[in-house]
Amino acid sequence: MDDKEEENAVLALYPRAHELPPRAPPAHETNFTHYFALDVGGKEFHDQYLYRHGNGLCVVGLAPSHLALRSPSKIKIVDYDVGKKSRADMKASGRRKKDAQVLEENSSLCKVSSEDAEFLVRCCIRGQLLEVNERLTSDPSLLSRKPASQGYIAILMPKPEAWKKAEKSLLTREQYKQQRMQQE
Amino acid sequence: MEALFREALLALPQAPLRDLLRVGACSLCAMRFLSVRGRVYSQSVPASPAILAEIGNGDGLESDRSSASCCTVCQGILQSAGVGLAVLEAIQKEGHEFCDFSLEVTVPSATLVRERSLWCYLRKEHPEDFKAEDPNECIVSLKEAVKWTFGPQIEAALVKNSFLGMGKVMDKNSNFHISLVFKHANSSSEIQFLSDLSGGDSKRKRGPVEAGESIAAVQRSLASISSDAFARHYPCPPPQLDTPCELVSSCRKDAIFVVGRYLKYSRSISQSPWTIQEDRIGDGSVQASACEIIGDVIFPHFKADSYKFHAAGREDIDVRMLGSGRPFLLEILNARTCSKQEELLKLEHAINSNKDGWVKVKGLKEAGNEVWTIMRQGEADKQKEYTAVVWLSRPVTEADFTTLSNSKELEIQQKTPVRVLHRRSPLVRPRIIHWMRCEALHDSSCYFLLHLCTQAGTYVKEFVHGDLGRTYPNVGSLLDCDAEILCLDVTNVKMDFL
Repeated sequence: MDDKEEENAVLALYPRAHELPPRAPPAHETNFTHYFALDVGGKEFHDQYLYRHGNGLCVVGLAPSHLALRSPSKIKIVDYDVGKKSRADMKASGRRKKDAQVLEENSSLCKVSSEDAEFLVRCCIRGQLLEVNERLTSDPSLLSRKPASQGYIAILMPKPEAWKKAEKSLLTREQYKQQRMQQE
Repeated sequence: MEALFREALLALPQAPLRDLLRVGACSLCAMRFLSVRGRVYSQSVPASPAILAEIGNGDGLESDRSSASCCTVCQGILQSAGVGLAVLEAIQKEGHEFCDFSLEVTVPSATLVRERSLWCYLRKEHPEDFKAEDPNECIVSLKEAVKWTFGPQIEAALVKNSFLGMGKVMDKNSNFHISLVFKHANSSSEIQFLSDLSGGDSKRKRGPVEAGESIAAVQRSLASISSDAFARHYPCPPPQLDTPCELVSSCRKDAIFVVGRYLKYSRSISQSPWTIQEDRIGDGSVQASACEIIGDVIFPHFKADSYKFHAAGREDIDVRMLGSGRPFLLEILNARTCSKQEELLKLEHAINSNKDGWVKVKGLKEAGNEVWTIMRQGEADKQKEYTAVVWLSRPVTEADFTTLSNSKELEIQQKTPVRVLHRRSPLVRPRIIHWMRCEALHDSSCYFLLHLCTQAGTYVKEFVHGDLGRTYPNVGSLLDCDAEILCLDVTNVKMDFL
């Protein structure tokens, strides 16, 4: 390695103008494939997203077309205390995710309450519940402000078979856009 | 007769010596049982009848086995001829270069049984001279005697064939090991009675391995039985043998370490091959990893069995390693070649003149075992410097730069990033951002260059984009907007020595 090369290495740190897109793709778009479930639980516009990471983990949250996000009334409470045990209580631990709850596709994850309505958010895939978003409990407004990132509902780890099964019923981003754009 | 040998023999108690030879121990085993140590073993040895003639055969004992060809104690090991030649052949076959050697000896466990048997006999015949229950404390072990006997022979053979210069060549700390494995076909059947004996009083199921060839197991069994019990199950003195042990000689070199730092200029080359159950994944399948680019040049030079690549931490495939480079070490197993520093410089040059030029190395040198500790330490507690191209959801301001550069020793809470959560524990890890420095990019108002120095183990990409708010605070939360990372480079991995 001579000095010239060292110098080039320093210059290499600076991106060229053409390498900078006008808007950087958000991490949740580059790192995840986006899927959607419409009318979850048979309720109209209970639309949810499921972001799948290359490692198989799925982040679940409310799609932009979800009734709770479209209604003008504010989201007041996000409550993970649904089912036999609060979803926030059983914590997965260790590399093997010991003690993680295994939830079914239609298991509820949390209850979202606005001024005039209540919505149940469901898993949409069978898998181990790794994490719920505890920030939503203290700051429910995050859900309406940043539904696609900081306002996620939960992170699940499905088995490969569970993913194969769920994939059939989920919509891709293109399909989702088509369906929901047409209706509007 | 050699003067030294004769002197040693005449100094020994004559009656036990006579008996030892007459029951078929070779002259060297006789010396072992009479606690003779040192260089005398390497002298050319007269046969037992010659010694008996010298010291007098005493009263004509009827069972004189002194003329039998194979020692009843060492099973002929100490009588072996051509050991130096066998070693020479093994070394020539492998083509090793070395400057000193250590000798490793393996003997059949039956020799322990035979030692005990002879000991029982001697205790009975010469209670004055042989008192202890267990011979191990008194006699010279067979392995030690083998080293005294054959070490000088091997040295001489190696010097003669110009593998070695003169001087101190047998050294137990050498990284080159010559091993002498003596095997005897009957060994396992001779010690079978021991496992039958111990099988009775031990509930633990003993596998054939422990009862079989393991020297330590046989030693334990022998220590646990009394001389009387032993004598009931095994003839004393030990029975005669027809065939001596066979020798298998081999040699190997300890792992040697080549250390240096590597640089990676590509965002599509990974540090090491990425495999899941033998299948290569991702870009690695078409493009060699940094580890292979380096190994492919260095490994052939050493004519070794295999190599392993270890680095002080790792960067993602899409992260370049610039600046200082990252310390790595190449563990080279059973190298045949000894390298010189100027040869390593040539190898370094060869890697650096690879036409692709994506991976370069610097400071290649050979190092000792201690580099392990330094590397592991560096992985855990050294500082790392990075440069990131950061995008904000609004134009960057001078105030943003002040905010970031004023945050010194900032503690962040980092939940295990989603991208590694499948294989790492779900935890919140506190990490320190030591300092940040911003640099405007004139091509764009929303982008800037962020230089930062973090504690080892910080996930920098997540610190910028926040990982769904799971790393907090993050660049976005500090500046009260959305932040994204376009690309990342490692610019400095601090580590002394390497």
